[in-house]
Amino acid sequence: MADNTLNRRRWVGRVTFVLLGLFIIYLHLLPLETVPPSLGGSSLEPVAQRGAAPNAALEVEEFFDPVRWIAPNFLILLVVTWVARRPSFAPVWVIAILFLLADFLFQRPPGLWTALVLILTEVLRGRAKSMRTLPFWLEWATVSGGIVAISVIYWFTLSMVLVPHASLGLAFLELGFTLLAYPLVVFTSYALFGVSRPAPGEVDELGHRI
Amino acid sequence: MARDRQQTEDFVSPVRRLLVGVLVLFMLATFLIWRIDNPRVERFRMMVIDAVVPNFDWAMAPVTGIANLLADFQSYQRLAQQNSDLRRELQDMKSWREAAIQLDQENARLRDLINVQLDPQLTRITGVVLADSGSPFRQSVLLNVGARDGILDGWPAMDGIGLVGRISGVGDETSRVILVTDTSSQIPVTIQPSGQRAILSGDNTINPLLQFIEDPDQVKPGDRVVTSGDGGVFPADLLVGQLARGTDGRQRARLSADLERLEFLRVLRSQPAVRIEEAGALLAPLVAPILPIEPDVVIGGEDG
Repeated sequence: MADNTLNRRRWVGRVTFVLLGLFIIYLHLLPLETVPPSLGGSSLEPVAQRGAAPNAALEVEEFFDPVRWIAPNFLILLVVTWVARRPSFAPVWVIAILFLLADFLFQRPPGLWTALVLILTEVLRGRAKSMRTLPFWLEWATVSGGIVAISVIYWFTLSMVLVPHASLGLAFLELGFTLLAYPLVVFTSYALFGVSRPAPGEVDELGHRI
Repeated sequence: MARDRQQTEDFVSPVRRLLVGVLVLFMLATFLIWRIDNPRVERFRMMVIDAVVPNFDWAMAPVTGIANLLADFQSYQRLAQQNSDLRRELQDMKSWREAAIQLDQENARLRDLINVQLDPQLTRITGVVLADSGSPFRQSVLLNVGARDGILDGWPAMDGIGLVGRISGVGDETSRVILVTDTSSQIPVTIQPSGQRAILSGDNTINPLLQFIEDPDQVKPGDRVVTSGDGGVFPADLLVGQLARGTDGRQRARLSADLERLEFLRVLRSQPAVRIEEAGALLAPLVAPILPIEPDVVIGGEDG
């Protein structure tokens, strides 16, 4: 009986994971951000122009760019959170398919980011058991270190094979936002979808402790 | 750490590790293939997008609509302010309009005088924006028209006023427009009225760079930037925007197109420019001229 409920919970968790991943991809694709990100301020000097009327005064036009934020990379946060807290909800093949799809849809070089994410999630999966007892800030630091590491490798690999890529400043900004958003994703996963670290003594369908 | 617990899974984990390894290798192979044989993989990417994104459309359209509605609502709050601005602008525009009509008439007269042959009219296909690039580092949008509607790679896309980008990647039902702000976008332009040639190259900011201006002293802020049609990819004289000097001291273009609100885009069917491939043949009459006196040698008119 207990096996059944746990098994069902696992499948519910997996389906939720897939749906959440697709939902994040869908949110990224919404055509609301068709303007490059900017930090606000003005990137153009004012232009002084004469009006059309014969004796029009010189008009000075100033340009201001509104601040346009970069969204954190929620897809990687989702995957990392779920793998670190409930590895059984996030099977490796689902992660592979989700990220490959995202690579294709988001105009990234296909495969490279997916491969790096797979490696990171496998490392975290292996440590999930020992990370269970860590205080939160240590978990945060571990995950952050992982994301920074694969981002750096990604950046270097792209430079090495001469693929044009984003400017370093923007990439750093996005990385920073992503790392800061980790507690938010953890909290949302816990509060809405019940992704918590397994309690001591919880058992899987074969009666092994997880 | 926790070694005793993992013992039971010992005969599962090596297989699993192998499979994960194969998966990672497969992904890396995909990347390498993409790097080596780019066009094929990009075609495959377009196929994937073509299969996936139109399915999202039913969910995307209403959400995008509501978001735009909210943005509109925010702008209603500044209604009074906008109203007075618009009045002032309208006043200015009226004088511009007079000037434009006069110029137009003068232009028509002059054209008549020199008997100029204009380009055949550009026809267009209008598409709806389905999705954007999904990444802050790439600037592109996806349209709901594709090979089915006769879209070809390289055609320019405009909003009502100015150039927005060019088609790059055509699926059956969708096509991708690389915006002029994208880092991979390079478009030959002319700066009017001085007629200087330049390259409009995106750098992932809202105001693309104008590079390789022949003589930077001849251009000044406020000059019009239009496509030049060099290279035969783009039709000439599509409005791009205004020249402005960036705070970093480089020449940039202020786009006329409103990239904030891309909803409908016009894709212009640009006719490929006729190329003159070979040097001209010998200019000689096709039939030998009849001469009053018989020449000693017969002129072969055909060969040339």
